[in-house]
Amino acid sequence: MNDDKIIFHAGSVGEIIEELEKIKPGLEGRINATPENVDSGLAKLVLTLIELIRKLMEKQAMRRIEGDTLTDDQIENLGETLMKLENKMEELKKIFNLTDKDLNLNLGPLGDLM
Amino acid sequence: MSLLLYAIIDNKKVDYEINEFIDKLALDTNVRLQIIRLNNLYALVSSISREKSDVSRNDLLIYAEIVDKISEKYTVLPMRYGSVLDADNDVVIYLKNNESSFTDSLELLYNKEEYAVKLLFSAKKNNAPVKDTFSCQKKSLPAVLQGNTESKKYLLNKYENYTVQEQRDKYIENIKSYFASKIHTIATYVDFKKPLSSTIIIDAVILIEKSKKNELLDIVLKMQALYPEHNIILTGPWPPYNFTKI
Repeated sequence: MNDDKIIFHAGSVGEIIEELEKIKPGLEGRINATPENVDSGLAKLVLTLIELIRKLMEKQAMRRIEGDTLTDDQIENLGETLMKLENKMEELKKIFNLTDKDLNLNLGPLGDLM
Repeated sequence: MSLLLYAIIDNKKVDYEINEFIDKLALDTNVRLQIIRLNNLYALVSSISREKSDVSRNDLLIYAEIVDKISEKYTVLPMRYGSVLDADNDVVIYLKNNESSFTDSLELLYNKEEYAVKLLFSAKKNNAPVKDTFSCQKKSLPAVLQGNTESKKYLLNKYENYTVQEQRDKYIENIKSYFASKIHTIATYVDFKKPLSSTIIIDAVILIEKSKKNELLDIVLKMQALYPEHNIILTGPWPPYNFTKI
């Protein structure tokens, strides 16, 4: 970006660059499937979708807790289910050599999936 | 040879200087633009070798610079790099197929400029107290989570994170609402983009009349005064890349 395009900024230029560097949109979050890596590319896609659903379930559970509509038994079941789901996801991530950062998709102008 | 399309302009709004402008641009950028006309629409193109499949960063920068210079002078519909057509006639067909929508868009964009505003979380500036201390604002914990079982401990941890995130979202929403209420008083169009990272609070592109630049700057300065713990960046004017489909 040309300096003359920056009309106003607060903080030092170094700090601004540092903040913008954190954004790093682009290739990282895209599925890069080739004949050689199609297995891991598909695993990344599938696990990303599972992770999205898991997080939605978790959020819905928190809303129900907030609404105070769950009994003690339901809380125990819910906690155990979510805990097992999270552990299972960790196992799958290890098998396919993926990290939390990998489980996202860049949807271009729509931003990241998660 | 093919034709690389840079921008479309409406010749009703173009004065006799265009050839002079193209000559100057050729001196500055080493790219000679040609004009292909259809009624009131001008397409600004340059010749490009079909064999050229490798695109360098410099090619993109020159392309952006040319579109930028055209937009400084005229109201434009800017193209994205890679808009390549085979021959003059293809450009004419392209203009013909879209003549009415191009003309309408150029009319809406006339005498307006695009600016971008980003409001960033920043914990470093001025040692000001950062309002991003949402963990201090925890809601009271639901009674149903009290207990010592593994399930409850797990859910309690999740619930605390959830409430922090909720507070953060609410905080961002308040800032965004305030900014929107101010910016809508001067902007023709505003597009709030989904932030690309959690570092960003507001990522907005704004279309305003050229005469309202100082009012925009004034809003940004007031926002900065109101939220000194965050960094605001105002950039522009840009070719109206984000408003070509309005």
